[in-house]
Parts: sequence; C-alpha cells; structure tokens
Amino acid sequence: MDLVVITYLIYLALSIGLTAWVARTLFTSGAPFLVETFKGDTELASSVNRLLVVGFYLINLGYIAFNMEIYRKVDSVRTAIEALAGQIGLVLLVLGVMHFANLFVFNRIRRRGMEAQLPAPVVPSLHLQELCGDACTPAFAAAEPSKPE
Amino acid sequence: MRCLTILYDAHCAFCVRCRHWLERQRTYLPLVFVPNDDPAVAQHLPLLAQHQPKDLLVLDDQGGVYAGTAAYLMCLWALRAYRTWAIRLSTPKLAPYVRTAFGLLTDHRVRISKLFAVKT
Repeated sequence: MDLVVITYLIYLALSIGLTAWVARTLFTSGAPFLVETFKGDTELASSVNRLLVVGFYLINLGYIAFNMEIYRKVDSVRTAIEALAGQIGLVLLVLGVMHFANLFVFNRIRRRGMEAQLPAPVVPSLHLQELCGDACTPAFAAAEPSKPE
Repeated sequence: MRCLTILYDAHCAFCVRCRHWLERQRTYLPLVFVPNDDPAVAQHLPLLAQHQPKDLLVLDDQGGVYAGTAAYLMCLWALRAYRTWAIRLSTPKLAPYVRTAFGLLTDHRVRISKLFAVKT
C-alpha cells in the first residue's frame, strides 16, 4: 500500500479515536452539570447532553475530513510521521477549542438556570398592610400583565 | 413572587421611555405598568394614593412596596439579562453609589427628559 494512503488511514483512526474519547468524556462529565441545571429532570438533561455531543461530533468529524489532505511530499517514513504529527496537532487544537467551547456552553446553561432561582436583592421598603391594613389590595396583577418570555 | 406592579410617572417622558424599554425586555415574571395618577391606584390603594407618589414604586403580589433604589433594583431583578446586575448592585460595597446614582436619576428625571429633547 502507498505510504500516503497508510498515513491517511493512521490519521483517520487517530483523529476519530481522539474525537470519540473527548466526546465520551464530555458526555459523562457534563451530565451532572445539566441535571443540576434542569432541576433534576434527567430525561431533559440527557437529551440536551446528547444534542450537544452530536454537534461536537459533527464539527470535529467535519474538520477532520476537511483537514485530511496532506500537501507536503510524503516519500519516506520520516516525512510521513512529520505530516501525521502536523495533521494530528491541528485536530488536537480544534478538539481543545471545541472542548472549552462546550464547557463554556455547559456553564452558561447552568448559570442561567441558577439565575432564575436567585432571591430578590432587596427587602420591601414597607408592606401595604402597614400602610392601610386591608384597605389596600395589590390587585393590579389582573390587569393584563405583560407575559414573561 | 409571581408578579410585579410598577407605578411610574406617566408625565415624565424619560420614565415612559424606561417603561417601553422594560416592556421590550425578556422577564422572569410578569410586569404590570400603572401610571401613579391612574384612578385604579386610588381605587386599590387609597392610602397610598393619598401620599400622591411621584417617584417610581414597585409592588409585589404579596403586598411588599419597594421605593427609591429598591424599586429600581426590583425592576432590574425581574429582567433576564440584568438579574445578576441587580444582585451585584445591591451588595454593601456598591449600594451607596447605586443609591446616589438612582437618587440623581429620580431627582433630575424632568431635566433628563429635556436632555433627550422629548416633550414631558
């Protein structure tokens, strides 16, 4: 078999293996984050987790396919290893960036979920009952509230 | 807390602009806007109406009344994009500056309205 073809095959095997390993790590280690974010709703958490991992696979495998072509001349084992190192290095860098991007997304989703639970920052200046007993009724809520999104 | 009622000065263009801005924001809970001279205020909150509130007031659905800086912070707290800012601005370190800033905003709202070249 041609040396270039062997290099391609090794490149593919290594890149796909690395992508699968990082995706697996993200899937298993990201799960607790998402379960906490979705208030213990494990089904929704694992669904979001799977969707994120699918996106991760698509982007990485897409890049691996895009980056496959070796431009330098491969005519010896030495040049083949050099070419392979360059290609794998790029894949590792992209995987690293994608990994941190995923962590950023996990953290953002988690923070958003926590924000909704934050209590009011201030206590009321006074209470309506102190002001006018039962004469005052905060009944404006019935008057067409703007819907929260 | 399920809802906030915001009593504002409908004769101040700056306040009306702020109301429209608030309406465009994504919120965690429904906001009801009522001009503070609205007959409904006199009807539901007769004793509060007697004080003729001119400045921003926020009422929660449990009867809590927030005035001054607390009212501004409650408005921010209701917004998805600014909830963390409301918490940050209420910390003891920042609170005095925030109080001064919102106090200035309230006291000079008519002047600010003119600055924006809008009719009050």
